[in-house]
Amino acid sequence: MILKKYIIGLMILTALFQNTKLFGQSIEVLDDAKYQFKYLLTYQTDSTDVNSLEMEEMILIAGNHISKFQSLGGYLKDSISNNIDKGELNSINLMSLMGNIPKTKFKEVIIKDYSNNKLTYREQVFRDYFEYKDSLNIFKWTINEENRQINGYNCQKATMKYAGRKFIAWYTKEIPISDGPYKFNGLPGLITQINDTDNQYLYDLIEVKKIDGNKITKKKKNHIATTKKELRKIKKEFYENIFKKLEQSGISLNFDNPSQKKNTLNKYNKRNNPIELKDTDE
Amino acid sequence: MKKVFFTLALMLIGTFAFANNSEFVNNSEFETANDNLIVLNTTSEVSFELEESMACFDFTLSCGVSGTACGGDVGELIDVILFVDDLIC
Repeated sequence: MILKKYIIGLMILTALFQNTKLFGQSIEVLDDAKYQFKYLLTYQTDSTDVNSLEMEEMILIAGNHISKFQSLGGYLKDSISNNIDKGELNSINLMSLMGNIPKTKFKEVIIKDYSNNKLTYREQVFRDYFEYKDSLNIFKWTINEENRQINGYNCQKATMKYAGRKFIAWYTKEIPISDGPYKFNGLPGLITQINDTDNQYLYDLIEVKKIDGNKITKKKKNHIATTKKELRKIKKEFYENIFKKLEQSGISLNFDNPSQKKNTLNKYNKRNNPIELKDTDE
Repeated sequence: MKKVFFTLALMLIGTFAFANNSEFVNNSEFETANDNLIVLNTTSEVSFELEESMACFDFTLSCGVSGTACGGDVGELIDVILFVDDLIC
């Protein structure tokens, strides 16, 4: 009789655990985090306007065999979301924390897996999450003899072509991690600076921090497997029909000023300069 | 020992019975109980009015645009609203 009672109790507990919001999204731990590298990205949003420069901070977290790259805004937002999963935040604290997160125009999360020589590119497009995979060995670097001091590091030059742009990179063997911002990797040291020869994209290493006790994680959110080419089409379709897509999915907006809606559309029409201009590697 | 375990199980059941376990209710006759409405007087840039019994948010974006988002769980809706904030503001 007593055994029956606590079996029933266990069953009820199990059912509650599965339904309660305290145990929402699950997180997968990928690796221990060893270093945090902060890059400043300066980029030209409109390919026809050299003055359309914007800046955003990006974070590269490097572990033993995995690294994760994303915008600082996205990184901070993920930290908040992870805390929602753990039930550590109440709604009031959540509001005040989210008010301090920098906005980001970059939704991608790039995970490099050096054990398996694999790169996973993940991106949120409104309500959907997509990912595609690639090899890490996609950059054909030419090492140059030229050396330079950049932010206190002795750096050597390397060049390559990728996705319709020519890139110049400076890497340092003083940080013997074959990694860098965005998808860039494969040099005999950390990339401290990389820019395309048209000066439309520049990543500059601005901070190096050794971190212990943290983990590199990814959300176990359902990501739709896709290709680079298909994702480009999906994003194009979304950004060309922003308000229609919002309305179709249950988001209603009230613009007090009609020009705000028009400004949003104009803003995305002029964001026509992605870092990858082509789907092929050259 | 078995009694202790059973008592603990019942205590945990009681604790989680008060967990926020709201699901989206698509019912036009549904009325919001005022004591469930959390109105946040916040100076943060993105403010919410959260109705605990429905997965719907009234929100105000950092640039002052207000709106409503419904559907999905809490975490998903917050991610979506943050996406919209980056998009619009």
